[in-house]
Amino acid sequence: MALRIVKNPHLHFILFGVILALLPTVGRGMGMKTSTLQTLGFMLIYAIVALGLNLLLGYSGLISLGTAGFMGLGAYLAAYFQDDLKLGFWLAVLAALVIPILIGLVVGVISLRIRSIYLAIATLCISEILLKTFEQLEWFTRGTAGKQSRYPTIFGAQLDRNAVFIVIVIALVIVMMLTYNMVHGQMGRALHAMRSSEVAAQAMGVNILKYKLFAFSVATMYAGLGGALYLFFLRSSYPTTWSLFMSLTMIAVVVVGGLRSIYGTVLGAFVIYAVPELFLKKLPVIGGIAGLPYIFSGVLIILVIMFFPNGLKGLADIARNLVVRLRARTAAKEVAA
Amino acid sequence: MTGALKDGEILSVEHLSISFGGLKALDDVSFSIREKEIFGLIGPNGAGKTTVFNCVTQFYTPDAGAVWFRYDPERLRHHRRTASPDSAGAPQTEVIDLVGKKTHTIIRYGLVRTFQNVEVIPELSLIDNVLIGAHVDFRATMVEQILRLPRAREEEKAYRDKALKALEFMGLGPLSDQLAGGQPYGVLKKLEMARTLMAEPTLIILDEPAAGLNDNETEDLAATIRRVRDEYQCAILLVEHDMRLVMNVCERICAISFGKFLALGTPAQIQQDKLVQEAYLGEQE
Repeated sequence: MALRIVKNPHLHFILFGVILALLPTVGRGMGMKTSTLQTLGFMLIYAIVALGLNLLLGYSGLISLGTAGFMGLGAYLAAYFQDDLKLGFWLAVLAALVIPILIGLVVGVISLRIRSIYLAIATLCISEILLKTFEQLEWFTRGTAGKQSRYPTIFGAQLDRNAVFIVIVIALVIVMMLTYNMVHGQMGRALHAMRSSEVAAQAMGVNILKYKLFAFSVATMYAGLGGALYLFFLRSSYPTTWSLFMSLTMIAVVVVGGLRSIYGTVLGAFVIYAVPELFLKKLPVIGGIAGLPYIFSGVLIILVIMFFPNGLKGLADIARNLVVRLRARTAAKEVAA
Repeated sequence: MTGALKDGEILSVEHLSISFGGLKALDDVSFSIREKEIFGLIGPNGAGKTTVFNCVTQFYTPDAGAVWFRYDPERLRHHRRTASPDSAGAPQTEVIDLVGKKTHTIIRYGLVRTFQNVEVIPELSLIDNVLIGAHVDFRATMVEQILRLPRAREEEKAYRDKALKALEFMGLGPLSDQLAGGQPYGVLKKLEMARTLMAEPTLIILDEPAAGLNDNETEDLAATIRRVRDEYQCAILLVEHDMRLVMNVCERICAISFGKFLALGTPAQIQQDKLVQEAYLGEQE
């Protein structure tokens, strides 16, 4: 029984969440700066969005360069429903989930016809259309002046920065658990089959249309959720945020963290987003270079693709194998002695 | 409706024709397979064997002709999540023309195939690869699975046990948790067979299973094919180049050449057949 609890992955996610949720309180006691908490919050949002992209890129073998557009859509929808329509936190979140799903379904249908680089171009175009819309549709987004928002109120309680951080942690834990369930079981195997060979997947009864729609709608839903959380945490949204660079950063998170790995994705978000913000910018001389994060993630992507195709998760596997092998060797020596 | 199939037949291909551009890949090909029969489809390179195969499994839609298949309607009720009527007595079978059905629905009738180039997923363990064969059998909905509700958990466990049995039947039990990537070719071929067994097929179509195997492995394969038929009580359609394997295991053989039907009979009859000899060896001077 005890072993079963130790091995239950869902409990691991919850434990992981509890540790993260304690950060604001514990951190303040240890003199953590507000800006550090801000960076960690954004990092967790990146992890949520990148988990959706990993479902596409890692499991289903589908590419999307449109992540930023869907995130932006989620952010503006959340702001519109919360601040303009005054419909409250829950309806704002619901809108930021449901409307991106509908767009995701459209992209899913497109992906039936086109593949690889062409799919990347098509999704990039959708994202750019959304970006232009954000700039022009002033009643909805306030255009380039930026949409201002405020911390949400949940069940009558006005949240502050720390409370929104905890909301982000809860969202991340839920997303990790749902993603885990999606990829371990019949649906995950169907996605694997689809990536490996659509022809073989169909022969095994996998409905390609259904699973492409599923993968894209989950990815856009996570992006929409990430966008809404981004808005609640930053309390503003500008069109420039939702550019191609954001989409590319998400791909970097997935590739560096590890395709088809849930914890790897969170680790990827840490390395790609938090490490430059928290550490690199404080280094002498090179810390002052503008665009240092771009250089950092670019170099990392090249290194990972060349030497560790499974990303940081692959590194962890290599380390684990070493330990297992060392243990086996020690055991063999003991037997010999 | 069972008029299209004689009693004891599981599949009947009737007047199958298909052209690609101006080329007639199949021209009026007909044959039928009996239940629990090991049936061979042979022909020289480019004869249209694989095209027949793809027309049966609906990867291609033939220009003309029919593919009659006998199935147990109980299976479809399971897949459509509808309750079965209280019908007493012997199990009823129905006959359907597969032409025009969607590719991914074919497995539901009990017809499964393997691939010439072995289509397994290298990133998954052997047992997870086999579980893909049970994809259409899952009754838990997506929501039940995403929330991991009891029915989804129970089903996963039940099919996992079944998959382990299929792996053990193919002699791969000890490897069940290893990744498929990097396994020897012979293991992957067996893995693909184990995957077809998950669907409880009534007809398995093997696409050149001996390709890439050495003599010993081919002999082993012949024994395996017989064992599968005896244990799972299904018909097997073998599309094969390796004459020794075909002559060794098939009860009846259909030969085609340049998209046309040549002959149908026992291995001995086929070996004696003038047309078949000409097709393989060229016309006698």
